[in-house]
Amino acid sequence: MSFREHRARWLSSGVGLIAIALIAVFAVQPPAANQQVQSALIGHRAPPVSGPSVTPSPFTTLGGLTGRWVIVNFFATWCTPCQVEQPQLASFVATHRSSGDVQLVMVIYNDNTPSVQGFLRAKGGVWPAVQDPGGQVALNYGVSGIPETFLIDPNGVIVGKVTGGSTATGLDALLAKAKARGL
Amino acid sequence: MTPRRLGKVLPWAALGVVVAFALVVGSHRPAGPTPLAARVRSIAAGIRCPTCQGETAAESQVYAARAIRADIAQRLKARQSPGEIRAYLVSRYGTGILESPPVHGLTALVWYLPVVVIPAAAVVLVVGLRRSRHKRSADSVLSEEDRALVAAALATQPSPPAALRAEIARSQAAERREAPPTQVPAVESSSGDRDRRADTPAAPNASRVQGDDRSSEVG
Repeated sequence: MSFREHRARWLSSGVGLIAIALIAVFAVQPPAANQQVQSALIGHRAPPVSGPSVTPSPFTTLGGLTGRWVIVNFFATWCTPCQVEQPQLASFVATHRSSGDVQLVMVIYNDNTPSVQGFLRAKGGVWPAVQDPGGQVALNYGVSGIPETFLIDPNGVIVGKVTGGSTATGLDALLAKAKARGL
Repeated sequence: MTPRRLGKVLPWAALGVVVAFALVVGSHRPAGPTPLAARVRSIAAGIRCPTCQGETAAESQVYAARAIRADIAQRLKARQSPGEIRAYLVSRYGTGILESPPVHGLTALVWYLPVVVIPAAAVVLVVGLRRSRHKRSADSVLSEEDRALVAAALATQPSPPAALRAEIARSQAAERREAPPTQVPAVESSSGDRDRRADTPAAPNASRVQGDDRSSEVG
């Protein structure tokens, strides 16, 4: 079967194969949740986060948490994916409360304190949440949309970034993977 | 020069000296410091708004763009250069934050590959079309064998009617002109070519394909 004689058949077969390949590529893409992305900050020291917590959970600085794994989550009550993500964060924190190996710190992105306090009181968020007036902390972390979540190792180095809503399972997997790398 | 003439020239000469002096002074006067807002806007114009599409940090009014402008202003006040400020933003967001990211590596491939591939594809297409056209044109030329067959068929038959003779003559003349066929299908195949020639009443090949049946109709 030469190409010249069956050109149309060859071309249609090629187009079909490309279509199948595209479908396969999209099918194996990770879901929107727990989407780990590359960041220019991975491997670098985490930018500072400081300030009083707007929740009853105490917090002063990120540096004060050295020696523990830290999850920094950028959040706002007006952000629907953040609302969806919140019970997952609560579940993750509840799972790790007894071991105390991870601390979640929420950074409020363009939202007012009473809204955040009311939201976390209603949904049961028992972790520190700090204001970011002017968005300087978000800028230092290169935040390009919320929710965004960063995993910081006990040495204060950023080792992972998740964009979009994360789940308790996804965060556990990210943490386990980072721990397995010996970080 | 008479005093009267001097009186006429002197004012113009004085005016020329004044204009020249003003130009020299004006061009050498040190420029005042550019206002901070203008410098911020100039740098922000080269920075993409990270949370919006198709807008620079200078144009957008969203939270992230305002944060970037405030950060640029703060860094300018701290006497950082525009290059240092851009480098800081790249260290946070990657080169995608720049309106004109540096072109190297894979990015360069994405930019330059179409420049090479598109003209090459166009050349291949044109050459292919020309070859195909030339081949079709060559296929449509009557061979000596075809002519001999037609002549033999005509010679064995009684003289055809005048109208038929005229039609044959017209078709032969058309073939000699090697006019490209107008009913050529886009996709050719060997069997398709045979069918086309057979279906074309004026094509002399038809007599060869259909043999004696066709020649028997003549007359």
